[in-house]
Amino acid sequence: MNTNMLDAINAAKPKLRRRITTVPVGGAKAITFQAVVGHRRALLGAILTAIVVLVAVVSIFWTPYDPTAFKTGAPFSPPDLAHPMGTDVYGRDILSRIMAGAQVSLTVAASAVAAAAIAGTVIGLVAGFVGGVLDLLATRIVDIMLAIPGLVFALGIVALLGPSARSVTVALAIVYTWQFARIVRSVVISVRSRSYVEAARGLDVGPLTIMGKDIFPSVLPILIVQVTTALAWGILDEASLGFLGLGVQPPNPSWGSLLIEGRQYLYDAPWLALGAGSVVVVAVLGVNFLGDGLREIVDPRSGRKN
Amino acid sequence: MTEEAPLYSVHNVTKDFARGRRRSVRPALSEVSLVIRRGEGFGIVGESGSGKTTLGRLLVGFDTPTEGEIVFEGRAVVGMKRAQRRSFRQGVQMVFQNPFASLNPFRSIRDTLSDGYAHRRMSSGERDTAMKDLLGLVGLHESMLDRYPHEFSGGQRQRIVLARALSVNPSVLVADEPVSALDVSIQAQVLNLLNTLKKTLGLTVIMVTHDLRVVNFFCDRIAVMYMGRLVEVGDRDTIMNESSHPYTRMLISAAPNGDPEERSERPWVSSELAASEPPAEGCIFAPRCWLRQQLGNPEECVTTQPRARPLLDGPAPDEAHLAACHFAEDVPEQARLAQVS
Repeated sequence: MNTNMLDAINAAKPKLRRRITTVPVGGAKAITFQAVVGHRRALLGAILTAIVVLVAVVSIFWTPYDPTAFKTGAPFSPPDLAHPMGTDVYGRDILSRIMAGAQVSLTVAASAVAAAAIAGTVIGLVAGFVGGVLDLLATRIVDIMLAIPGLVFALGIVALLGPSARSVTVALAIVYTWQFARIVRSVVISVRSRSYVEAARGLDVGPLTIMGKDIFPSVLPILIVQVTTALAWGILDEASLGFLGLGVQPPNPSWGSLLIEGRQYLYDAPWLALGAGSVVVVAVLGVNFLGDGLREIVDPRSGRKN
Repeated sequence: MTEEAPLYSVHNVTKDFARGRRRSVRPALSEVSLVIRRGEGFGIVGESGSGKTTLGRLLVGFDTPTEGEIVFEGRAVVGMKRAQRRSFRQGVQMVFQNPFASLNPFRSIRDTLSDGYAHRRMSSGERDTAMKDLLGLVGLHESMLDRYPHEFSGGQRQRIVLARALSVNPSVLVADEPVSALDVSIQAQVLNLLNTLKKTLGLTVIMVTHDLRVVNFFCDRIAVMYMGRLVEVGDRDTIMNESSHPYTRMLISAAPNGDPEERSERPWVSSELAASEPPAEGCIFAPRCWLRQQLGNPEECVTTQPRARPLLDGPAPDEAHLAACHFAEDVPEQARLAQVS
């Protein structure tokens, strides 16, 4: 069962990979509030994402029970009014644990992606803008890093740092950085030779100002799309690493650790794994829909105005 | 008699875009030498791939020559110190061909124009007035400052591009096909504006174009380029009416004259550019040259590369009129013969 569930998580990934490579380059349209509301999939994604985030935020202040408290009810009680998602072997409330787990999962995914986005953007901007030997070097390093399977690489880093939420964050940040670097660089290359960049050079505007004012705005829309896609990845990968026991350590919950706990009792108490599993699905689906919608909004080839 | 020092002097400049130790068979620009005087309208004409844009970019300093030297106001453009570099960069501004690519779509006109004031100490009020004056100078209304490029037409954008170039008070404008992306009706407006600016601000305007009408309208002197080499330089009237190079004659005869009744015979438009490979030694124009044919294929044309030289037919060699042809002196006579036959 262990491998089956990993397979299921991994099966969702090739689709994500394909999306990353079809991000449009240059000539991007602006992402506006109206555009998101007008785009059905983007709106659905935004709502789902908002709900998941809201749950995580609420769990900071309130959960139905203490997520780590034993015997809040009978062990293995199926979902009922007192425990909407049932209880586990120690009688802990699953809903509370999922809510608290959302904190960990989302924090890990979000901070890993944020760090990767910043690092990758800096690498991509500088490499693409400066060009020459620096660009060649950066591109080769990025190629090598992308050639290593991400999860395996993350496993290695977590093994090195010791299992904890922080090492998972660090590992995922390192793994994601290269995708950001590659995408940002490709946009920078396409923008760098535009006349308006040359004009700015001709006016003796400094390179940092040119990067900030003339190049980064073109990168931004594509970066936003890439961030949402990477967030979906982050949630999945955090769950994967948690499932392998490398994330948050018991008794603290995360979606991945809830899955591994539920796996042992899958036939007797399926609500354990199903609860956490469906929350992961909803979160990934939401973020993915949002990213997909944003990509379509940004893509100038889509027929929509804005 | 002392002659004023030229604004630009270009010495034997070659630009090869091949990287590393490899060398192109034919560099983008080969052994070009010319002089550009202060305050003149200087036209660089040629067909696609003749190296005219490359020359323009070298003059602005966007690229550096592989060999040779470009001297601007007595100082070599390559290897300038920082302060000199800034004054050179700001003193020479470029106007680009495509007004839709030369303005950043994400930045308002105010933001775009503010680039030119980045190095100057002035209050935001002063800068505001300066920008409004600029827009007035190029014939736009100051209310357009807070709009974005996509709200403007091609002609208006080109005016904004001009305003941006003028924001640093340049003495030279290098205009690379400034009107070829515009409607014919707008072309005249932009050219007239350029002309007015040239006169009122005392600008030197270097016009890179394939359009002989533009050159004829705008320029005092003209340089003709062919396959990366300078073919002929001279005053506008000399080049347009009494050119001494077979290629220039061909180029001018190939331009439509606008009168459908008067059909030009164009006896010397022989082959297309790619029709045959020029000889390794000798004149690059030889395979297409009508004069060479007419003279019975002299050996010299395929063995010796002609240098741009002053003509010998007058009482004294005319230093202002150079042509790169072994038989330049025969061109007017032979052209008349060709047209008659």
